[in-house]
Amino acid sequence: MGEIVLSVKGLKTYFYTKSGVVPAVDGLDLELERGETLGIVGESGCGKSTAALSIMGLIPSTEGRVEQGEILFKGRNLVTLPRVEMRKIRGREISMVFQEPMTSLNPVLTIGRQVAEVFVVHRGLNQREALKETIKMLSLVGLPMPELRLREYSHQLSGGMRQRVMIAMALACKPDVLIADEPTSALDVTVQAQILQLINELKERLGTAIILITHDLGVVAEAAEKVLVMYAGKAVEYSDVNGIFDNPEHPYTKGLLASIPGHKKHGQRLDVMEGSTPNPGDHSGGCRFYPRCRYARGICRTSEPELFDLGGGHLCACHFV
Amino acid sequence: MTNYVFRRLLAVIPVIVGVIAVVFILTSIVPGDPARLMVGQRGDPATIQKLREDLGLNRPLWQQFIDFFKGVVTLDLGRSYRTRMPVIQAIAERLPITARLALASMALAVTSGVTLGMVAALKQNSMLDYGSMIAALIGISAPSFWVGIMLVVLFCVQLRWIPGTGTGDGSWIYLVLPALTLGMRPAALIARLTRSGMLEVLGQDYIRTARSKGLTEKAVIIGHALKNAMIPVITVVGTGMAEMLGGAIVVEKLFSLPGVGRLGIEAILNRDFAIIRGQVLFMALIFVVTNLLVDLSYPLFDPRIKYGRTWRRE
Amino acid sequence: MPAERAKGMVPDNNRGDRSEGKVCSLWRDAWERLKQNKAAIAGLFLVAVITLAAVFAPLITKYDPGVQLVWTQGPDAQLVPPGTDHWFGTDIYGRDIYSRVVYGARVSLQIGVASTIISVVIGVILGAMAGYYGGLVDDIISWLTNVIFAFPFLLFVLALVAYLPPGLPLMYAAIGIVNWAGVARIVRGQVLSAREKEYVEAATVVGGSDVRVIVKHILPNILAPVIVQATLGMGSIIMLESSLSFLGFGIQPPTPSWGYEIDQGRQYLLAGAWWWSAFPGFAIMALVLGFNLLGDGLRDALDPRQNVGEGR
Repeated sequence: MGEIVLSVKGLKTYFYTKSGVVPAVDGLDLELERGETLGIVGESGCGKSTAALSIMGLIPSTEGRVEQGEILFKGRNLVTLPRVEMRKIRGREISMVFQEPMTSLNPVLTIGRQVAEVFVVHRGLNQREALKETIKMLSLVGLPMPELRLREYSHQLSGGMRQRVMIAMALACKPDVLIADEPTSALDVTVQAQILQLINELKERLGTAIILITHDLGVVAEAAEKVLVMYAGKAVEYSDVNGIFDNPEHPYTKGLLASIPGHKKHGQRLDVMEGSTPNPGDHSGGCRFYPRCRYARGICRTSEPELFDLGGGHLCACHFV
Repeated sequence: MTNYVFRRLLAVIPVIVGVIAVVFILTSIVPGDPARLMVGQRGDPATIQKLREDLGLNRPLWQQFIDFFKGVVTLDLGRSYRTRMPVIQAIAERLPITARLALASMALAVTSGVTLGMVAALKQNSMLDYGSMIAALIGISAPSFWVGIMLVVLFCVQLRWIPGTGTGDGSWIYLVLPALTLGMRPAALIARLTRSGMLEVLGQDYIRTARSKGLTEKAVIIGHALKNAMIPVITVVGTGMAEMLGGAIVVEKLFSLPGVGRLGIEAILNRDFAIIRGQVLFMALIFVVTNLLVDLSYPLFDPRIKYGRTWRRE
Repeated sequence: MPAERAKGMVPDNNRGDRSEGKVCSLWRDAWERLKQNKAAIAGLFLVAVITLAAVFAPLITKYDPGVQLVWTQGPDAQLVPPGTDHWFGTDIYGRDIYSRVVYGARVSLQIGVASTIISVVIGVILGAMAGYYGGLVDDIISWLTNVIFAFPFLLFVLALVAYLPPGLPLMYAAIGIVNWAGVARIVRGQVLSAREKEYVEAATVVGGSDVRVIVKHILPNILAPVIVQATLGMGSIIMLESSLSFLGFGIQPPTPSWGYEIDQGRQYLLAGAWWWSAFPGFAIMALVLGFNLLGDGLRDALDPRQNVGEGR
């Protein structure tokens, strides 16, 4: 067991829309150890991106807020931290990389300016020093001829290169935690592998803990050490990567793994999970997976299961384990 | 980049030719004989004939057009039928006033419009937002000359803060009301555009990225959002300036300013077609040139246009 | 196993199967959205009220707009401030300003509607031709629109009408001749993008003549932005007409015209008689505001993400 660098307890993040309250994250617990990669898996709408934004403090106040819960980082609760303090942490101690490299970089500012900005703001360097550090960072992420890149604009780079720039910006100040929200989903398959490899290498080098959010089990199998499975705003299973893939306990996890086409022989039917992703809030006090679970019993409808420790660090939220 | 500049310049030429042609046709199809109209009913035929000779009205139409065209290219727009002063000179005399008015109005419009629009966007859906946008709508809908009159009633008659209309002793105070009047509509348009542009930009992913880097909100808005949001505003400023040079007619009449617009009205009343031709042409060409300059300035603001769509694969 | 809803939760948006959408449900949706837009309804209200006032002018005015009461009532009837008898006061000739304003609406609306119709007809035809045929046709028409755009609106129309005998029909024509360019540009853009769509290819393959394809398949889809542009354009046309009249080149007396009244009233401002210029101006503002609000509302209702021109 390593040192816990980030700990989330009972996080509830609700959005307030014209049609009602959307509880995107509804009681999430997770722990991140120093230097490890935690993969968060789940379908679209399960709240994983919202959880990431909540940790970063990037939930727009006009749309929603963190209703309850604690996010403990280096002894402080990020939920209650004043904005000024949070800004110092963002980009320096906890950073984020987003899904769409196409639109995540400012089209009218140079690459150099956007990366150097991080050094200027957080390390107080002047423009020239910041640019020198930027060149170092850009070559660290594998961009050829970084000096030329400084004056280029995002539209002149390919998707993979842009994502490398994003990573450079995020890791510039050697943060303790890097949150990568579907960093490869918008990229070509070959580029995906390169980016994952890059993230891994940098993690080794800088000792950064990584939260890797994805809906792709292949990515998780490749890159993560621990896996957290999310469903309808909560964690339903947590284990190291082998535990999840070899011994899935939660019916949802089992269903996910079974749906991967690779297992079947030619001509066999694919295993499909019945039902569709629930809307946040669509449950009535019982287990949220109840409508789609093939093992469901009466108790599942009325009582929501807690995360039980099955031994060896393997947690599962189901009544029947 | 040079490709872009070149193409824009090339595209402008046929338009300029068209403009010259239209202006010429416009002033040539006027019913009646210009010479007779100028001399009046009681002029004797001999004078009228001489005048026609002088003005080259007896030559075939297409030849008059060639003359006119040649003149334009050499910046000789002919002479006023009335005063025999070169048209260019007549315009040049009046231009400074109009230009000063246009600049003052636009400066006012941009500063107030951008500020109002930004505040409205940042405090979206607040009372301030609704209030500003309603004010902007009224600003677009109210006739400028009427607003000018109301301002005169308020500031000259009732409050006596401003001495009067006209250029007076030349001090800047005489520009205040005209600039407010002329600048009101562009200010309203700019405010609306800034607000919508800002709102759209603030919803973009790269703003979220900027925030995730730990920048202050001020740095995000000024450093990241503003430049993107301003791009459509530039167009409005450009076309607004050009419109002002043409729309100052009304304001100049209202405030008795001896500008280019007034020149045009006098010329129309005096049936001085040379001046009318010259002036309309002048206004139109300024319009075209201003738009061209605006187009050419885009690359400064939007690098995507500057560097085209060259892509490099990894 | 129906998913039960907890209190106040989000209704399911992925309900998937909608009932078969008919073409006119597009308009119905738009109408629904428009109804909810309070500003647009306010604009519609303004326009409707003024239009009705113009139509029923004789019924709602006490005095005839041309009657100069100085002849019957003497100098006391001159420049009477707004009061119970004359809601908007009287002018230097003793004419009732309220009724001049009401009748003035007729002029403005007539010009607005007629000019808009002319511009739309010319604009749609030329714009559609430019977009559909492309090539030389497009080049010529685009060049023409660019030339027209090069002239400041007011100046151009002014130059056109200055020497023509005064009268409404010529005014309509003059404005229409200039204003079609805005419509044509939008129509051309829409036709260009519609042309690429598959249903147009299908229609041509099946053997429809060009005109048939354009009219039956392309036009219904470009209707929306044209409507928006026409509505917003009404506002600028009315503004233009009043500017022309203010300058003295528009509608001539004795027909009451708002812009002309504003100009006439200027001379008496210093004497304190503000009402002559003020009320016609309010009328212009109200009508133009109405069209602008309505136009904005229509734009949002017909396609919330569309980027149609601001009108001039």
